[in-house]
Amino acid sequence: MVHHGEHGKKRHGKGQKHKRLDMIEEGGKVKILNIYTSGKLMQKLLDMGFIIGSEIIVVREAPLRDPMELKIHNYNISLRKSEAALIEVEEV
Amino acid sequence: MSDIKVALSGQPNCGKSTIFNMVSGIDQHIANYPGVTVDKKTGHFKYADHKIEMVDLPGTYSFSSYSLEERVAKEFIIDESPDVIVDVVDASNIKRNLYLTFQLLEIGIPVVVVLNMMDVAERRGIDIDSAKISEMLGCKVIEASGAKGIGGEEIMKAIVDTAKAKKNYEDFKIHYEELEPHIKAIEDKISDTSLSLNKRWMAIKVLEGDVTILSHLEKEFPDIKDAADHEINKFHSLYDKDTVAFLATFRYDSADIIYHKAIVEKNAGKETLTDKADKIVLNRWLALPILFAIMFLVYQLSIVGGYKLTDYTWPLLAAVKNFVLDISPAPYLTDVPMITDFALWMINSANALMNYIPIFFILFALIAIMEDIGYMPRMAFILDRLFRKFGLHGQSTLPLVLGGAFVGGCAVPGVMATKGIADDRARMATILTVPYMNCLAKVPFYTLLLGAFFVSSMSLMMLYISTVTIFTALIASKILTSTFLNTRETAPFLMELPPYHAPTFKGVILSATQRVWVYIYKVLTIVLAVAVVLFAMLQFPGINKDTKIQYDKELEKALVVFDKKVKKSKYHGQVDTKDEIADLLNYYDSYRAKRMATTSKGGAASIDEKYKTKNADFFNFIKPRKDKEAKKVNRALRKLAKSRNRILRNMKNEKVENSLLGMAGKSVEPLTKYAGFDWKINVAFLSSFAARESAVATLGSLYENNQADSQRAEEAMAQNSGYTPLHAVAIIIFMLLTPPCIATMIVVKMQTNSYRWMFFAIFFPVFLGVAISSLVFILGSKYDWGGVEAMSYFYFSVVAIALALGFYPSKKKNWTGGLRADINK
Repeated sequence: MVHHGEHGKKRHGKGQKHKRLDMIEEGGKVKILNIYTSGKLMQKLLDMGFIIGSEIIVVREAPLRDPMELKIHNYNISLRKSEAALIEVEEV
Repeated sequence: MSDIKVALSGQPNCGKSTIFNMVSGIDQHIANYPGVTVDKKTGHFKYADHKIEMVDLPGTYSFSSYSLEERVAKEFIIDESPDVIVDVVDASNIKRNLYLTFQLLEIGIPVVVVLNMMDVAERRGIDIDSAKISEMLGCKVIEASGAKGIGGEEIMKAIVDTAKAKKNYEDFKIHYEELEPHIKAIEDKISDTSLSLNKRWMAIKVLEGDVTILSHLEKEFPDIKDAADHEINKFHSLYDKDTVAFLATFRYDSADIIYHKAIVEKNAGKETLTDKADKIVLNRWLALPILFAIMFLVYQLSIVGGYKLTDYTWPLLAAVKNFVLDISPAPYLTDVPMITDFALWMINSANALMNYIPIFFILFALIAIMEDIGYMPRMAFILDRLFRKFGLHGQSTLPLVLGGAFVGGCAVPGVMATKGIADDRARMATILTVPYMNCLAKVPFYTLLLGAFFVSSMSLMMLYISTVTIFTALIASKILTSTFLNTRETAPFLMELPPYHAPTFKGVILSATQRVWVYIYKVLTIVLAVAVVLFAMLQFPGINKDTKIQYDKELEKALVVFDKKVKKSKYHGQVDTKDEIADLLNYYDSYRAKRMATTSKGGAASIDEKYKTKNADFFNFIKPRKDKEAKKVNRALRKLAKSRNRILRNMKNEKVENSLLGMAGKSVEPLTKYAGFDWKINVAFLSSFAARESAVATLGSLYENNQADSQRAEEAMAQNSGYTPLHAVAIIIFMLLTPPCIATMIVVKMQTNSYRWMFFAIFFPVFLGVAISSLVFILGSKYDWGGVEAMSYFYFSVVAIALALGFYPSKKKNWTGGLRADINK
């Protein structure tokens, strides 16, 4: 279900169905396919509801373009793009 | 009859503190959890003959062990084994909140669920079937609204009922399907543990790799970690699943089942008020202006407005001071009893800090309001990218502003406001950089130096001084986070942006009062202790006998002059002995002190009345009106008082020069001479450590001209010190970087929970200050820079370095391995 280790950027280039969360534009609606991390960050993501299959709406970017605001499980959370890049999603 | 111990748990932003305040009233006690800086609030109340003790656990999203708050909460459950856990759930955000509820239920201690903010949920069209939830979870579910004061009775009743029925409590169990055999294996292993906790819960926690539980179990089962790893790996190889993710997913799925069976959202997908507000507050173009406006408002209301309020509170403090002086033994001409000196010193030290209380109260109330509303995380969201570059956090904004990002603030509330920063490294960096901001008490010091050396370019210099601090703070933070703090724990930036809530009046006042009380209780007591030490260092060894005789002679001279003048008056008989003159001088001084402490006309009249009845003859000398004979005495008296004050001041200066502190100032002169500081400046800096205010007082008195009494301190300093503007720039730079005062040190100790960091917070800035002011002074002397020129070079170098650090990409190498360096050779 969850893979540890390095995630290759090659696998999700532009135009493909699978994307990284940080590439999704404002208003985009996506579903989590995979999370490529472990340890503390993984635990925190799980605790905040980043479970495989959960739906996310990208609400906005901060005025300085990073971090981003997301809606998940009907509440709002902000996430830095560096961390969003570890989440693989597909648009729904 | 029996006592019930309750732990209050819940996720952040669920309104837990409003529930706590509602149930426990104002009978609250705040302490720290042992060894950490997390607040532990305890409330006591009675219900139906039961004494209930309620402990407010830190708000946590989960019950894993990755954050400090979670570890603290878990330690409390393990060590104190409460009778009941009250779980506060935000009814308007029920799914994520139930994730924690499931973890609490598994602990094996009876749970009472409180659905808080039912009014908000209703407004948003969320229908909750609480009876259904109660039935599904097998525990009491109470509907409440802490902000509206609804549900308090019911919560207390549910606590008592649940505690009474404890014996009938059947353990709550989630069936984890394919993980079950592995849970069973661990459970069997720890079956004969002496810990009184639920074994199944411990087994689950072990499979989650929970360090708190593992370290407790390791005492009895040294190989528990290996056993855990074995089961985790087995589970992974059998099902290709990770236990941590599996458990979290299972709990979210369970929460989802409840959500679908017991909750109907009529307005799902509709824009809420918070969504609408955030379209403005977090708008790409409006967010920064709004943030600056809010910061400016906070600053104006608290620092500026609070400072004005001190005009009204200062007379109260002055009255206390006068009272203490009244009951202390009176001085006899130039012989001031040490106990009187001591009392005056202590009361001055205390008053200097007490004077800030109005400012702090307003500040803490405003912080509480911003916390309650939910603006804090939004502020972090807006500025995180900027601060992150320097190792800080979006949440560092407020502490830095309070510390004095504009013209002057105070590091004490600034450091206290770092409490909420989730990232430990950024929090430490913020604590250590807030003191670089310009504190209010530094302002008179700058004014004195600018008035003495930079009369024509005062505003430019002030602009430099007030804007350079944020850049120095950023540089300091970057240096600290990439060196001393490099190994500190960082936390992932996953920050909830909660819905906006109206603050409650009671909550704001409670929070502000509690924080002010912490200040009074912790800071003041220690500052007074240090004040005693400083007093001793300034008193001993005192002035030697020969010079004392010299001063006595000067006094005799002044008395002779007085007598000559008074002889012409018909009142001569009343003031022709030393005792009488000493009494008159004391009478005159105490009258003046009282008069200065009042501003109202009525107050002045009543003081006049009091002194008239005390001694009508003396009063006639002080206020002679049309009595020509008394006027003669009055004139002579004023001259004598001036002479005596001059002698006292000289004696004091000599005492300071000979004192231990003076010696300390002289002994570091070889080091500070590179920055152009002589011992007088050193003494001023040393004494400013007690409280910044005293730097100005010390310098002022050290440079006062003995002949011309009407000279202002600025002029006196410019003429008598022998400094050039370059000296002044070196002094200003040192003051900009100088270590925080004792009060700040104590809050640094409180917030870092370590004396080592406290001492670091003292010596690092001193080192930096001496180094940089020496550099500027040496270069300035060599190339013959003027004062403004030197300051400009300093200013633009600092700004350039900060910008360079900011633009320099902070890419980190996050891989290891490859051929080892020694093999490569």
